[in-house]
Amino acid sequence: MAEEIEKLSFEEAMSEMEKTVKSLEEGDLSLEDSLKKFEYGIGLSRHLHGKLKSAELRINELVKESGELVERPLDISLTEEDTGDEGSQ
Amino acid sequence: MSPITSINLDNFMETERIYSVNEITRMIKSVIEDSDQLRDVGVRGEITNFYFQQNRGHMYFDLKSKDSKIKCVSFRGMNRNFKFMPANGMKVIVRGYVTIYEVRGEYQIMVKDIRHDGVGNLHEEYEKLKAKLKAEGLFDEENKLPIPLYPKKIGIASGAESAALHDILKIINRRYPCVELFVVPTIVQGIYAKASIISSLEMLNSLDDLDVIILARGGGSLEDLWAFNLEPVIRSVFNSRVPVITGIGHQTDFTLCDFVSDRRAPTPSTAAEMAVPDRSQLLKRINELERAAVHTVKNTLEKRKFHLDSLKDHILLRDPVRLISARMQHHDEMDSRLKRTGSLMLQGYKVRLKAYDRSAAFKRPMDNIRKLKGSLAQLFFELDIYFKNRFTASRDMCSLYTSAVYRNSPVEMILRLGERVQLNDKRLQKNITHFIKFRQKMVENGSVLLSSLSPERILDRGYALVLDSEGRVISDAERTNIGDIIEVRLRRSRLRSVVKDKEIDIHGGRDRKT
Repeated sequence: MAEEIEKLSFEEAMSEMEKTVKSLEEGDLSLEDSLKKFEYGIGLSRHLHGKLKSAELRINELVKESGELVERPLDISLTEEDTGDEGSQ
Repeated sequence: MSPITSINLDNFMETERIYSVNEITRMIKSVIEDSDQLRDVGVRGEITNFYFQQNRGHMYFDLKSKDSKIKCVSFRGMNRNFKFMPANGMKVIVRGYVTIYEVRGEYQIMVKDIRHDGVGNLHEEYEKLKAKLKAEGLFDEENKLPIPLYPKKIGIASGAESAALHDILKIINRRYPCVELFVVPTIVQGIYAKASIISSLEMLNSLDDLDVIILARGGGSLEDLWAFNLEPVIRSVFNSRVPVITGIGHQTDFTLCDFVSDRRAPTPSTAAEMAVPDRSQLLKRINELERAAVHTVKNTLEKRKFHLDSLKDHILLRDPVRLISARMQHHDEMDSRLKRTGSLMLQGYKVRLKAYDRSAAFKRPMDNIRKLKGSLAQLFFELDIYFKNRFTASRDMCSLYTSAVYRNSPVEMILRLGERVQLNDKRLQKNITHFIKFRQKMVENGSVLLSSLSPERILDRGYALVLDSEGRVISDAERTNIGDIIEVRLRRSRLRSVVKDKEIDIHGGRDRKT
């Protein structure tokens, strides 16, 4: 079951979780099935938590240099105090 | 006017100084370029013969009015800040100074800035293009691509180091830092904006697995945002394979790109918010779901436990005999009812027999009656035994079931057995009914036999019934006196007689009175 969950995209895992909890709440499952679903739901929750928490924003700059597409990391400070002073907002 | 016959050069030379072309041109140049009036002019006209020298960034065009024309030039350093790329047919006001191009001896306006002549024209152009694109179906809802809920890769086309870009990065970092961003520095205003925006969208579309593109620019004047109203730019947004969210200008600004993009945001920041979900909201939702799952399962388990407990306490499990006790009681009731009915019937016959006994004037009928009584009693005895056996058998089965119930405590088993008991009960009931009917018939037969023995029938056979004056049956001569009037009842007739003589104990011959 755990490998199955690992294969899911965030979106799939999210909708699986919604579905699982819904079917649990409908309550017409056998005890065994509902325990299985419960375990599955908790697995999904862990998976989703992991995906959301472990991630860190990655910023690349994409430019064309003599006709070639070049991708390089963009180093930019994003502290909340930082505000631009032109144009936007 | 007289025809010229000769040229008086001497006279000509005296009146004018002769310059070289170069000299005169320079002279004109200095006159014009030193003129305060011509140093800063604004000229209104329509652009024709526009030429843009791509490599060097120089622009050449003519500005014409109804019946005159003036040459215009704008070098790279001057036109860098133009809000738009001039084009033929545009009505504009140029600002600059008048110079002389010595090589050709032409005067021209060196253009430092250019504006659309009246915003009205721009609006007209905007509305015209809008109507055209709308008619083409570029704004149709069905052409809009869905924005993925949880993007992994996001492209951003925005001014390098612009406030718009900074806002977008900040918001994504705060809301959902689970993505990879691809920023393409893009020129979003001026003469190079068109090509730059189109190129950025192409570059982003060439990436693999890009989920969404944010095309953004901060607020500005209508002319600042004009690049987003240019048809080629609009079409490149429309043709993007990757969904595009536009966040151009401020709340109220609506560029034509906003109409063809897959989602329009009022500002760059809003565009960023539309592009990503809120991680904290998501975590909240996931936790909610998890809590709901835990709660539900806990609830289910408690319910099951409660159910189990209630089953354990169920009266039938504690005391399975109860399940069949009602049946047993029913049997008992049937039993006693049958007995009651039987004895009632018996009593009825007893009464009837007694009546016959009393009324029978003859010993023979009495014997018969006694015999019948005996056989009836025998019948009832048999009936009794029969039922006793039947009931014993049923009871035995009941107790068999009882022990089976004890052995197999699950309620299902009890219910099944209960059904069998019920079936048996039905059968038994049927048997009882049948038996009662059968016995009734037999009793009825006995009754027919009895009636055949009644005195009336006996009279048919020649016997006579003797009654005293009060109508009582005289069964013994001793009860009569000589001279009594007696009635002799025969078949359908009677004789009124007088006792003349009486003889007692005819057969025994013990006593004799006449």
